Parts: sequence; C-alpha cells; structure tokens
Amino acid sequence: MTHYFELIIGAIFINNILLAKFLGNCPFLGVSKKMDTAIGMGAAVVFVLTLAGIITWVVDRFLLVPFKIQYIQTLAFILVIASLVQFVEIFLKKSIPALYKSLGIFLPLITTNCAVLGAAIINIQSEFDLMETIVFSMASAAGFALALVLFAGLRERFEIARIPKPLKGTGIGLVAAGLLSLSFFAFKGMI
Amino acid sequence: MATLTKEFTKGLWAEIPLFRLVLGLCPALAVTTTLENGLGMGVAATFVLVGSNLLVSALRKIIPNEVRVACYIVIIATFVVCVEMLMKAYFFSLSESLGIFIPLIVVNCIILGRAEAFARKNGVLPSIADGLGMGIGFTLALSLLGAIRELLGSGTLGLVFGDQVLIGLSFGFLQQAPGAFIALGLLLGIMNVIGKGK
Amino acid sequence: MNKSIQMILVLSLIALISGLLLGGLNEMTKETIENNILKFKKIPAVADIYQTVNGTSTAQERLALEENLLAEKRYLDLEDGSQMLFFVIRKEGVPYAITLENSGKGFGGDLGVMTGFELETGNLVGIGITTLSETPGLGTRVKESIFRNQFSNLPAGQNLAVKKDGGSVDAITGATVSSRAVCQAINQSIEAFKKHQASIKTASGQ
Repeated sequence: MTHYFELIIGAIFINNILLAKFLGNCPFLGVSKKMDTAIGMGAAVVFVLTLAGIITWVVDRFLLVPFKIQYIQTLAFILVIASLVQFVEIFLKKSIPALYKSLGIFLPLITTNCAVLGAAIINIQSEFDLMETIVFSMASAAGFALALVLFAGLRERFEIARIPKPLKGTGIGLVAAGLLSLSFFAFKGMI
Repeated sequence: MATLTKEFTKGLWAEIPLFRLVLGLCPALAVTTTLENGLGMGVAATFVLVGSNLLVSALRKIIPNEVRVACYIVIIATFVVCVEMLMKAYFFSLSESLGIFIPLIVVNCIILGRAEAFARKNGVLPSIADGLGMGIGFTLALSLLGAIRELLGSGTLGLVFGDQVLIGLSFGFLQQAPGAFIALGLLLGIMNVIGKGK
Repeated sequence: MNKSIQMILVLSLIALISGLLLGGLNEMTKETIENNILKFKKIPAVADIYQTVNGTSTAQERLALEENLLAEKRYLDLEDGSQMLFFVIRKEGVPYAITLENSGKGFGGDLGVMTGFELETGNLVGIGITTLSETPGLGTRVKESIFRNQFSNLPAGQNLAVKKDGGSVDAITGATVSSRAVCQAINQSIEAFKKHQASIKTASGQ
C-alpha cells in the first residue's frame, strides 16, 4: 500500500509530469488562459492518459514483447493514442454532447500532448505491472491537471497586471511556470 | 528559385519555431541543458521534419482526406523510429542524454503542424525547403537556449571547449526545471524586443 | 465504395512500407546497439567494481581496463532456456569475483545495479550502477562512492534492507525509494548467485 502512496505523491508533487519532466507544455501554455478551459482540459487528460496507459501497456505486454518488435514501440503507441482519442471523440459526441461541445478543439489536441505518450513510455521503462500502471497514469495526469489549474489561476491575474510589452503572453507565462516549478521543488525531499 | 529561398529562410527568422512559432516546447525545455543536447535534438527533429514533409508532399494527391492525419502520424512515427535506432547505434551517449524525448519527436507539434499547414498543399521541393528552414531554425533556437543554459549554468560549453570552465559564476538553477522555463521566457521577451526594433 | 477501398489501400501500403523499412533497419543496427549498451552501461559498472577490488587507476588505465573487461564476458545457460550474463573480475590474473546485474523499482524507472561477488565465498565485493532515471541531486546520488562503498565486503547470502526497513543500509536522505531499489536489485543478484554459484565457478574458470 505504501508503495502506491509513494508512487502517487511522487507523480503529482515530486516529479510532476509537467513542471519537473517537461511533458505536456504545448497545451499548457495554450489552454491555461481561463480557469474553466483548464479544468476541462485537465479532466479530459486524466481520462485519456489513464486509458492510454492501460491500453499501451497491454499492447506492449501481449503484442510487442512476445513478437520481439519492441523497437516499433513509438509507432504502435502513438497509433493507439490517436485511435483512442478518435473513439473518445465519437463516443462523447453521441452520448454526452454537452461535454463534447465544451471540450471543443482540446480533445483532438490531446493526441499531440507529450504527456500522454510520455507517461505511456515511462510505464514500460519502469517495468510497472498493470496496477502500478493505472495508479501512475492517473497520478501523473492529476499532476498535470493540478499544474494546469494553478497556472490558469495565475494567468487570469496577469490579464489585469502591468507587464512589459515584450514579455506579454507567452513570455511572462513561461517565467511564471518557472516560478511555479521552483515552488514544487520544495516537495523534493519528502519521501 | 526565389520562392524556394523564401520558403527556406522564413523558418530561420520571421517564423522561427520556438520563438515566433510557439511550438515544440516540450523538448526545448527538457533537453537544452547543454549546447550539445540542444544541437543533437535539433538535428534529429530536422531529419524527421524534412523526411515527413517530403513524403507527405509527394503523396498528397493519393492520400484520402479522411485518413490524412492517420497517414501523417504513421509517416512521422516511422521516421522517428528510424532516428531512434540510428542514434542508439551511432550516437549512443547522445541518445541516452536525450532519452525519452527522441520518441517524443513524434508528437512535436512543429512536424505535424508543417505537414498539415504546408506540405499537403505544396510541391515536393518547396516542402523540403520549408522543412529544412524550419528544422534549422528550430536547431538554432535549441542550440542558443542550450548554450545559454550551459554557459551560465555550469560555466562550460562541452561541445566546443570540453571540460574547461569558461565562466566562474554558475547559476546552477538554470540547468534545472525552473531555470528552463524562466530562461526561455526571458529569451522570448528579448527576441520580441529585437523583432520590434527591426 | 471506391473511396473506402482507396483509404484502406493507401493506409495499408504506407503501413507495409513502414514495416519493411523499420524491420530492415532493426536487423542492421541490432548488434551495434547491443554492443553500445555493453560498452556504455554495463562495462563502466563492472569497471567500478573492479576498482573497488583492485584499487583505482588513472584515466588511461581505466580506458584500457574497460577494453579488457569486454573479453571477460561470460554467458551461463539456464534451465528455462535464457542466458545469464556475467563478467569475471581478476585479481593478480586469477578469476576472483564475478558480477551480476539486476534491477529494482526506482523512482523514475528501473534502477539497474551490477553486484560483485567473490567466487569462493560469495561475499559482496562492491556495486556499480548501470541504469537510473532518478531525481537529479537526490536519487542520482546512489552513484556516489560514499553510498556504494557500504556494499563492499559484506557477508554472503544475507539480504539487504535500508535502516528504515530494519536493515543496515544507510539510505540517501530524501531518496528512500532509490536506496530501496538498490537493495532490491542487490537482493535479486544475491539469490541468483546462491542458486548458480557452482556453475558460475566452473564457467569463470577459463
């Protein structure tokens, strides 16, 4: 039990997938301007990342390894993720159209979210079993969502603050992300 | 010929990836701890970008519209796996330093972005020029960021001067996560100032 | 109907070419990559253990050492059909110890540890780290000699644990998980050595 607890704390705070591992930056800076979109994106990523983590793990364990074709891992995984996102889109459109509408363009964007592919690869590299994969994927996605939401809160403040022109927008966003990442450093010696 | 040059040079300044085209951030922040890593990543990404632009453009008339993204992904991923294998075989320590970010080239927004925005609407030669220009621009940006972080972070410039410490001061934090964000942010600000001045 | 067929054809064609290209490239580069892993990851760890046994050497001597160690590679055929890789460490020209590699569940991924065992007694003579993706500045410190030296000259057959878990190993502050992973890996090697000690001795005789 403590093992899973350590995995979760590690994935969310100490090795935050976005602030420490740098995975998931593109949507991070694009989506975090408003709180609601940030929350929506965060929730979507939790869902997709966890599912993708499980499916890619299964593909690796039962397809790539037995046939000794692990070298195409990147190709296989990205195809899984792209198809998964496609299915989720179609499914949401039919069954929960309201949710589909509010997510809008962010759903297909999850395919190119480095965090999803990155977490899937890390699962395999760490030689997790299925349970650990599920826990780690969910925790990593939660870490991403946490960083995203915190950041959105900061950025909403920037809209009304006086910022030097060259730094407006992405510039100050990055500096703020750096400070946020620095604050997470405090968690390092926790366990 | 003039149009080819135009396609090539726009990637080097006006639409330089990373600073103007805010894409391809993930690897930019993670691997630019040294000049060598930044350069290596840039070259690898350029290889994939040129290859993918070439193929997407060459096949643009026969790829059906509905499955185009799937096809692009297979093409890009194939090139990425090629790069992975070649690097592990001939540039092992670099591949270890770049680690997970080599396979992540496949989700580098720049590559899919150029395929969608340019290669599928233009001929093979202009697409190659576009890919080369963007790729080299990306490499320059990565190398610049890497050089700054390495020089100010640990005082060395491994690729050029080996282990020799060139500058006494070292803002160690530049080589860690927060430093990356801040360095890129400030650099972006500086580029904007220079851009406005032109 | 025509459209659907075209879609399937094009996708399959691209997939086929991709598969052939990657399969071919894999065949060409497989061996080089395996050798790289040996040279850059395993051998340095073995060299670390060699130096713990025989004393440290200059940079040039170390390069020559790593070259020579390549020749000390041995394979042991196991009952389940797989092969166990180990290296022989010589003291004064005679086989003195061997190294086995196993990995533990580290913080950022696998933590690979090479453990050295004295052939005659099975005592631990030292460890070297092969792969790690731990937190920089914390977990990565398992590579430092201060940490690794605790594992030289430990009695044979006894499983190791960090002090927190009732054992005698001093973990790195703030990197309990990484330190634990090292113990896990060493314990696995201890088991493997115990199991095959006799056959290993014969195999390293050459």
